[in-house]
Amino acid sequence: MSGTAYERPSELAKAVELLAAVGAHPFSGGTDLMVAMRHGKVSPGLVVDLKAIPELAPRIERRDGFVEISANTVMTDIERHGHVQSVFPALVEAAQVVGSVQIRNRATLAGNLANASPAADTPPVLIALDAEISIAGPGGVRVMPVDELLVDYRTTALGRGELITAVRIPEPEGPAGSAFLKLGVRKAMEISVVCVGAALTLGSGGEIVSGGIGLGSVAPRSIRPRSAEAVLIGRHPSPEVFAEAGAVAGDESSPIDDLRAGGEYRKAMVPILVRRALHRAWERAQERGSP
Amino acid sequence: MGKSPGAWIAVTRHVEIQVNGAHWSLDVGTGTYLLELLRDRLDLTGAKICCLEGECGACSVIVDGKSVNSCLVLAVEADGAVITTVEGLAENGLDSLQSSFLEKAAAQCGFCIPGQLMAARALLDTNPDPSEGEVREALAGNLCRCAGYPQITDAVLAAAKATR
Amino acid sequence: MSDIIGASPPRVGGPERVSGSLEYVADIRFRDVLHVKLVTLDVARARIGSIDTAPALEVPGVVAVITPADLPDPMPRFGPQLRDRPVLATGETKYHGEPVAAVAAETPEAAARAAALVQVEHEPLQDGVFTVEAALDPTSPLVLDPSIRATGDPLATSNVFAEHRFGWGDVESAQADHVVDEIYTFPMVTQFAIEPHAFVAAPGEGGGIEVWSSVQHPFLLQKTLGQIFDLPLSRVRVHAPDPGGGFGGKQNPKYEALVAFIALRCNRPARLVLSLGETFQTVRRASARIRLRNGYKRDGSLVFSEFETDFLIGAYVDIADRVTGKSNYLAAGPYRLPNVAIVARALLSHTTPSTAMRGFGAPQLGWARESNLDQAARELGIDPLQIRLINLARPGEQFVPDETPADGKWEQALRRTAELIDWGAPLPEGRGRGIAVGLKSGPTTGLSYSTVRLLADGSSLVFAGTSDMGQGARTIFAQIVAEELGVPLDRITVVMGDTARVPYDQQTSASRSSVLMGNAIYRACQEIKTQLAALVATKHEVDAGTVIVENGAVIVPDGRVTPIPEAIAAALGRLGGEIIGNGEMRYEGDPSHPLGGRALFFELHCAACEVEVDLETGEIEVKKYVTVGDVGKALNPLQVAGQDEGAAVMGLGHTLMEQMILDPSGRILNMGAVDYRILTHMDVPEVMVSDSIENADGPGPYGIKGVSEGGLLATAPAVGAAVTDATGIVVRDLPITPERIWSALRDR
Repeated sequence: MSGTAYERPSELAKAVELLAAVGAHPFSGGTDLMVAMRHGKVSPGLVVDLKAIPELAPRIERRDGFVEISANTVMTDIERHGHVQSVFPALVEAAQVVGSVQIRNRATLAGNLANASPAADTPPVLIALDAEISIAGPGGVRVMPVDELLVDYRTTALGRGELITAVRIPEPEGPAGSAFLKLGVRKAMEISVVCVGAALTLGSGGEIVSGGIGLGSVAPRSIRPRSAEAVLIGRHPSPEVFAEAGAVAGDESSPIDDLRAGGEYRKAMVPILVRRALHRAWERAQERGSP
Repeated sequence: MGKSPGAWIAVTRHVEIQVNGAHWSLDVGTGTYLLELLRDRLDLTGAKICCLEGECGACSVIVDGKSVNSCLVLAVEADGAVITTVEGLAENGLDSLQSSFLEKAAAQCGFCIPGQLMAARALLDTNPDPSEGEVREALAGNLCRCAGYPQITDAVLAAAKATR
Repeated sequence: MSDIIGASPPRVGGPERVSGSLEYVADIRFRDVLHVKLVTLDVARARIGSIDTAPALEVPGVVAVITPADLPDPMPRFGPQLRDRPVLATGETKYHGEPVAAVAAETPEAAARAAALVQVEHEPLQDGVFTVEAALDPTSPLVLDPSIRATGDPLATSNVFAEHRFGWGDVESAQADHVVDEIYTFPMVTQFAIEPHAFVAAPGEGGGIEVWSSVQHPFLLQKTLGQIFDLPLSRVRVHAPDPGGGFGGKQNPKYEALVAFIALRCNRPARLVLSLGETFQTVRRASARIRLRNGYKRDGSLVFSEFETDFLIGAYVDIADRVTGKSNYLAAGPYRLPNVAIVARALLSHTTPSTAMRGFGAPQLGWARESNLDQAARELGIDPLQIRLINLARPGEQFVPDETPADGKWEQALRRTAELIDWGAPLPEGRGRGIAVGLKSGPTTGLSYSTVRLLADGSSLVFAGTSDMGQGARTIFAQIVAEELGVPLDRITVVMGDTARVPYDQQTSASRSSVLMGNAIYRACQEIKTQLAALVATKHEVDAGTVIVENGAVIVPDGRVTPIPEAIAAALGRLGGEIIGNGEMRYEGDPSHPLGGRALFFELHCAACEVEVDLETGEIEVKKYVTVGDVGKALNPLQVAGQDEGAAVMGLGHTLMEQMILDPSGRILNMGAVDYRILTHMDVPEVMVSDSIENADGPGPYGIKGVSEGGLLATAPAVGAAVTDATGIVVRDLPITPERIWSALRDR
């Protein structure tokens, strides 16, 4: 019998089992999947609704030095969470611009990652924050950094039957700040022309001890320009240092022309947005002081 | 020729849903979307069909207190949910938001208005005293081509003020 | 002064809109209806071979698959200007989305699935015409077969559908101190009404047809269907529920005939509701390339204006040649100009057929003209406001020979705009200001009938064939009756949208309805007053001439004053009844005039704005926007503001972010709401101000002119000028995206 079937398991193990079948697709918010299905772009044999699984229920928790965001947590939950607002403002900024309120009430952080759109807003932030994901699958449980998860255009490193159970972001050690910037043509409901996540942690002397940069819409997947990050380490923050990191990040980007913008423009915007995001992250690190 | 939405296997599931205060006990196809359930099965045509991809908000309804695009929600997901559509904003007559929309001439062709109202209702239910920026953001997912945006924003702010 | 005319009573039809009870075409339930889905190809141009319907017919629930073989031979064709558009494509598809077949099924899902299974043998053809350059290239393939063009048309073997030449004076020998010669472009944009087009047809009484359509011109549709199906008008009934936005894209017939063929063949109602993406393949605005060479004296006064305009109109003419001619006729604008030469071409292309869209070509011309003026102002060192004031036609001035003279105190609108934007005040760093004037003519012919019935209890029914698609026609019609007959607004019902119930109205376009239908209703009311006076006179046994009916009351010779709604019961007497008034406004036009008639009125509308530009990213923010229209009389000021500001936001769309993007084979790449951007709530300028100049100098009741299109006539050049003011760069191609600004800054 052909066509799409629907299952709503109430146990994680059952979900893993169902997802192991060919043509099975996980489903939580549906803000990517249902669009693709309505427009005939994808026709799964089975849609596995994850929303009845207790381990995945919306939850943001501090645990073992991480902030853990469960798979079914939606963008509006993230936007409104006091600790996330305080410690990872960039994630709030990114969550806030995903679609509309109607979308954000349904779209999950895990889904945004699993969909692996190169223009997605949250992955550059999660990359910059050194986030990792917890995965459950037929082979058991494992952990993977976000920038390893995103392999290629709409392709993740998840194997058959694997699903993201949580996103884990390490709590900063020391004064830290982050920022997210998005460039587009209109102010809402926008797929970015370029988007940037940046994060800094400062040492006792005010120098940068760790820096993270994530770039969106400049490659087939969200990327981490490590050479640009390397520019920052050990340096004292300044507009010049940020501009230098920005320039290196620009060199590492090779964006294409597409419907939304030309590659040349995008490439020229990377240094500007990286510089500005780093600056904002630094301002926030100074505001926060030590935790 | 070209792509059509794939078919869903014809299987039904039972759902118990509350819509505008009325309880429904229904068997729904697993491939039925909430929007089509409301319009075709329950005769609530206030929620509109436009983009069917979560961009325009013409299909916005409130599910368990949150505004969502009903075109992307499966009917089976709504089991146990409390749903409000534009038809349910007021038991009799018009509620404060609807009256405010009339007063401020916020409805022009009217097609986007049910969606705007539902997004506004969801906003005011959780944030009774929003700023103009918060209103614009809460309704950013409701496109209006008549572009009565200034009047709609005014109407929401006026309704908030009136019920304070 | 009246507390109705010039007041803003709540919208008639408002409660239905906010309660969700208003039924648009797609909301109406039909018993036993078949759902229709169009079969289209994924290319613009293709030669069509055989069509295999068998796989589609196997889908459960499919009732019929209609191909050209199921339609009359020769293929019926229709169109308001030329009967060129086939009901289904034959031989060759001419644009991306042209239907080649259609499926009718019991459910929309079955129809969609089956439509995807219809096998259309086809051969994509190379070298389509998708640009002005390609259309002008004599080696390009012809879009329209010459046999369909008018007999003896010398242009029939080209893709130039028509060439319009207007002008006066002598541009060649005109002496100018300064010349600005530039090329401007305006992109393909689409109406994007939030209600996609919807069509239902059913077999009607006596072998006729009954149709429901989101159409703006129900009587034109009635006539078109009568012609195609060889039916008398009396057997073609068109229901036209209030559309969910039209903006011109729902004026002319599209798929009603196809759906009617299906309904008649299957002997059941048939229903087609377009997807949002399909509307991009169905309607759009003409894109344009305009070369404008203006000559100025040193003081900024215009000496000559030379236009070479190319409108890319699409695969079928629809009303687009009229758009080309009418707008280009006034290309030179509301200015005093001794020498003008305009050559305007309507070019066919393998793209969505363009049709009317708010502004009817005037926004495209305004973009070029006002940008040219601003450039001259900069280069001559003259204030952009001053250069317009110098040239603006004065009231009553014959600014175009043999045309309606300037019908308003246009300077007043311009000065008010300047005042509201604080023209001349210092600006913060990084900000710029711009101002521009837009002009469009109202209808050049017109005909509206109305019937008003004053009922025995003093309530009233008003019958009008206008389409209320958001501009608030119902409301102002009710206001007129309330004013003239003293009937309270909540006792008036306005009946529209049914050719069997309302008398003839030519169309709802060109902002005409306040004037044409307004006058028809006004006159119907006067007829009622005359009849009422006669009845009262008889009752009182006095001369009819001694009974006065005015200000909503009846005054008899002995001085007693009775409000009309009370007076009528007595006047009608023992048998009761009603008083029926008919009104008509007929604007005949003049066949010897290049446009078939002089403008009934002008829409003169000014825009000004303040923008801020991020010099690194090119991002532009409109901080403040002002729009002022010369409206004659704002019958309902809140509705006027809604229309003017709404039009401005639509204008900001084509200025900042809207464009249809085609791939090299003519496929539209950005159909739908994701990659075709219109403004959201968050993109509306922080400060939006609108105002109206009301000098009661229009031809409608109470001095009204037309509104609803003016607000986007000058948006683009006002923003363009503000961007130049802020950055020094000049953009001549729309939309003004951040990338365009960045590119221009970099190239500087």
